[in-house]
Amino acid sequence: MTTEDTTRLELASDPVTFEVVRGGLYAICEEMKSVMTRAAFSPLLSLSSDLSCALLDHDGDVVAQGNDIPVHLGAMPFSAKGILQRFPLDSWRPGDAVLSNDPYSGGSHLPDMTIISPIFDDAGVLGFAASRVHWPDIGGSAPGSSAVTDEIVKEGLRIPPVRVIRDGELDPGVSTLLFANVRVADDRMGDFRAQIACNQRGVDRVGGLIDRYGGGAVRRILAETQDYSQRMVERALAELPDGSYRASQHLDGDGYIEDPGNGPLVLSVRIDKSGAAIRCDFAGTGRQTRGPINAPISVTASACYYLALALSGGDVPPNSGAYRPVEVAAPEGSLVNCVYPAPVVSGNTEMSNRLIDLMFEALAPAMGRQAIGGSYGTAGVFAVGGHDPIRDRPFIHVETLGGGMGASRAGPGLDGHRTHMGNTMNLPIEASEAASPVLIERYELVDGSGGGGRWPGGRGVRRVLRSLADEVKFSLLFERALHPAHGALGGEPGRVASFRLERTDGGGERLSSKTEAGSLNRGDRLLMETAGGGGWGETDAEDA
Amino acid sequence: MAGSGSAAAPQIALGIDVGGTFTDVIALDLAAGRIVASFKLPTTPDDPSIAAVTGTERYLERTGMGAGAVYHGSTIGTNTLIQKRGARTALIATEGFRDILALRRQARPRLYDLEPRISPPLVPRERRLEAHERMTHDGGALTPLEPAEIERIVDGLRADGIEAVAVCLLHAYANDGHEQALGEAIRAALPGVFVSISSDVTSEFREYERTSTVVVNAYIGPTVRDYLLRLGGELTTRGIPRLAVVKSNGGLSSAANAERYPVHLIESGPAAGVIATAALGAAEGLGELIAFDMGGTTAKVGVIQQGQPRLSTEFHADRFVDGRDVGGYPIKSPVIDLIEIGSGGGSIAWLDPFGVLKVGPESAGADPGPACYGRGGTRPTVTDAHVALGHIGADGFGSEDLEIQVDLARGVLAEAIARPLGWTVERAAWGVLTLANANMAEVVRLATLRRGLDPRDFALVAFGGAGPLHATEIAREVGVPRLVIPPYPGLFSAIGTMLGDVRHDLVQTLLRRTGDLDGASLEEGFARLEARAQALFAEEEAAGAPILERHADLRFEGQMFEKTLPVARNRAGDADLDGIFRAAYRADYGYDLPEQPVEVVNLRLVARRPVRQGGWPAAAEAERAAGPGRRRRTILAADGSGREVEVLPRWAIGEGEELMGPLIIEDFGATIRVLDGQRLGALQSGTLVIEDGE
Repeated sequence: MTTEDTTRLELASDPVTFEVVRGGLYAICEEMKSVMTRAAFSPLLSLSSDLSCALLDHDGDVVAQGNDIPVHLGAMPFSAKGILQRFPLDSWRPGDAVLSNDPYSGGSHLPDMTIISPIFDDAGVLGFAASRVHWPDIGGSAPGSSAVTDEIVKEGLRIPPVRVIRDGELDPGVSTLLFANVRVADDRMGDFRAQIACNQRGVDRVGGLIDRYGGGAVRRILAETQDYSQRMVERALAELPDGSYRASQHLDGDGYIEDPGNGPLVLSVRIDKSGAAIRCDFAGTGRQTRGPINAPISVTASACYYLALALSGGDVPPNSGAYRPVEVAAPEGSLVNCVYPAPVVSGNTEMSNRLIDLMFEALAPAMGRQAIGGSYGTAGVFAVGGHDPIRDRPFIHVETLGGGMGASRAGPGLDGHRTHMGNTMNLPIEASEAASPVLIERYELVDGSGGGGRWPGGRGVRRVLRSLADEVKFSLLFERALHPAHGALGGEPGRVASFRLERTDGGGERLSSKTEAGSLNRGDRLLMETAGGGGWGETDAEDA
Repeated sequence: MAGSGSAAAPQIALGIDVGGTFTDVIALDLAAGRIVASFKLPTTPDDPSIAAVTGTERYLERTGMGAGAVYHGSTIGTNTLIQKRGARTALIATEGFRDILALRRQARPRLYDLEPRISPPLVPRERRLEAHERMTHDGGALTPLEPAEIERIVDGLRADGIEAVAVCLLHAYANDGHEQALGEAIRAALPGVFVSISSDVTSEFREYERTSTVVVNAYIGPTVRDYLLRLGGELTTRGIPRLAVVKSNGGLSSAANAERYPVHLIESGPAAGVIATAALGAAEGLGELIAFDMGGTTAKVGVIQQGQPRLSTEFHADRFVDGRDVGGYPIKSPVIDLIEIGSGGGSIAWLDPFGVLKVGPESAGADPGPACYGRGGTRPTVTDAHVALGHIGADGFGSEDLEIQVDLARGVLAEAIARPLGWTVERAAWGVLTLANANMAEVVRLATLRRGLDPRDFALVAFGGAGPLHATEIAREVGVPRLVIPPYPGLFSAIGTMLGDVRHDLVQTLLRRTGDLDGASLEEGFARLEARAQALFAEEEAAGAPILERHADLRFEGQMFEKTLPVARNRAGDADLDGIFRAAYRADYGYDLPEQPVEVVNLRLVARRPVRQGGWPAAAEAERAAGPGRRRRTILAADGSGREVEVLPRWAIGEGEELMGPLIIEDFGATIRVLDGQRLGALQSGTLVIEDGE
């Protein structure tokens, strides 16, 4: 084999300088993130790190990014290109920054606020420092801006690309309008300042590289860094057998309707793998729906990009080069490429994760022993809030729950963790109970919930809450109560999720995986069990 | 043997530092403040006490003197954890919560990994037992722990050959009654089993981190206990009565206290170098310092501000396996805040499938070590690159057990890198060093810039076997204006083991608003911690009462992170805590939130007692005289051109003398490169200072 010749990366840059600067670009992204977490006020930002930083080239393509949230990062080039459409390169000046959160201009959902700041060399705009931050609130019908509604206007303030900083000065018109439309505006202002400081750090640090190596050399390395990741992905894709692979799955519901398997919430994919490229075509997917599970194209593409990076073994430095071998075709107006005014806030958490399972089910015949089982398929967001009679103040508790990951050839699926497109942390029970009138009675793995097989799927999580107050509202945003995670290579499906309410008087009810505006009184219990992952291989098979 | 120098024994202390590659032994005459001997031996990974005892014997035999104490920087705890050779451990958790250990914080360490690996729970599910009991956050017993339930649990532990038991119940920081009852019953019923309860090890809220901490304590407990007993016994038979161990917080602990809280020793090894840096800084008035410690397998960077090493209250042990982040085991324990990467002299250079040059994280370690050691290493390392370019001479490591072979170094570089890329050996070696330096410069940035510190305000103190070789280039790269090379750079950590205070850190979670906390209950909280500190100091051998420092972890209610601030001892009223926090917050962020209540999260007590007085120890006369004289050596550049450079023994440079680079300084156990345009001077202690410019 002459693999050495076909895979060698041809560099115009000095190879050692290339590797030094390339490593530096990724480190700069991590440094940007540290600037933000140190200064941010929101617990959501500083604790669960729901933020991402990246460096872009002058086309808006991602060159380097931090070890952040996959769904954020795959969507970043869409936001940047949306911004550049509105603000072409010759309109930028040093010290500018543009803000956008518009899912219909490259964004993912309204709480994700993207800001990009230009980096200049002698020849003009060399690239951008970019950050994407999940704000705890961006207005809309309910605190937290993640309610079930039927149009995007009700989800919060929609911000198409606007120049929020000009020559280093905050535009007072834009900021006044912005902060008049979000809850707890002081905290948001602090977070906003932190995000701008984070971008500035990226601009300054890349400026240092330009001073040292010259703009031309840095531009060359920005391009070669993307080529490098592209080659890695292509090399992995080339090892998969060519062919056309299909799968189809249904989602539980959209908050208004449930789909037991014959309804409109169908996801279909055909993946054409040819040579070192794949094309993901979602023809046959259902029309966009009334509730907020719709995915803008940026979210769908993020899932496809995740697929490519994961197929490449998880060590490819993520950037737009890695995404080049991936083509995405999604019918306009469908669940996976929705159009205005479809609501989208949960597309990020529900649709993005399910698309991963869908595509891995389709690719199982191509992957052979590397096939993996399906996962619990959600971020598992639950919110509990009301008036705390013990501390005499309002309270709100929002958290995400892990579940089972699919098993692989390497062993059982991961138990009770966040999987695939999200990676937020849980909150300490001892801290939660000290801050709200809710007792957590159980937090444990659900025995037997992972699908059987040579290796069992990861186990789901059981979380049981007991309310210590009356009139406590809750909402659930989960998946897979109706549709289990698939097994791989003869492995069995995981157990489905289940949600129940138990009243003190002995009454109880099954809850839908998407439950809005439920209510608990003192002593009532809320039981949540997330789904298990799919198993791998037949149970009696030896590990060949 | 032991009798020969017994008269001098109490005056001499031995510092023994076990590293990944070498075990260093240094003997210090405490009364004279002078180093009397030093030895460097290959580490014995299977039982590190073997090299420690061998080094002690070498000292006793060669000097004919005795010693009064051994101060020990040990890797036994961390090795037991990393090699998964700990005890068969059980965990007792609150009913409904035994899986906390497996659920962790539910986030994955690596994002795009279909076959994720996460540090496995140290206690498998079948040995995680649940107690029918429940405390609330304010310490109320919602479900009391009945005697019959205690009996049931103890019976459950009998079955199974359990060697250690960890007990961690919800909200035990607020009320430790149930944990204590279980602990007593288990100790009574199962003598010989190592029992560890969470409220004793760390009385701090956040159940996963506390559970993880107490489980690690139990898991490594029996091994660390046996190791310390064995080493203490070996030392006693050689006439050395005392053994003290360096803790993760940089302080010293008697072996008796260390056996009970082995989890506080996990970062023992790396801590000693930072302690030495702080001590040198104080003795020479060097200001704010970055400690840069590079050995055979890793590089570590810490920061010293106002004379104190920066501490962190939590870290993740065993986080990287084969260079991959697997999450590790969180440990709640004050630890010197170090950034560590798998980049050392032994880091292996390789080409990825695309022909791009990489260095590390894989290491040739102590065995076989770099190819130039001639012990069977077949892949090029950072050390081989130095040898190929002439930076390191044939006796460059100062270990009598090692000889450098230049041909082997050049051979593996040619084979693995130069030939496939069509480069010369010199270009390949230069590329390897440039990448290694870039990786380490990033670690220095991580320890400073990412914590909001400006490296230009610091001096960099470089030590470890490989630190001084790389430090000149790293300091330039990061913009640190001043570089300091201590005497005995290759043995610096071993010196540091003897320079710390005896120190114990204690914590108690409170979780109360400052407005709800009167002066009396605050005083009572600190008094409880002080009583525990006195009990620990009763097990220490140094004389005198400890100095007690009070701190509080404070935050605005609703925030998830706290600031640790000192609490004035005599004015600890409620108004003070509130004022202390608001002033500090304003100083950091430029504004206050007057409407937002301030919460006291934890009370912290630092109890310390200095062991040793006086300045930096003087170097041994024998060392000053030893070694070859001035000579010249050819150093190769990337393009293969040679250049004659003067090579000096360190002690040839007198106090106040100034020399210009390029130079190579050879010292016992380390080589120092002074680059073109760098100016070298020496301080009274023999410390070298390197700065850019005339």
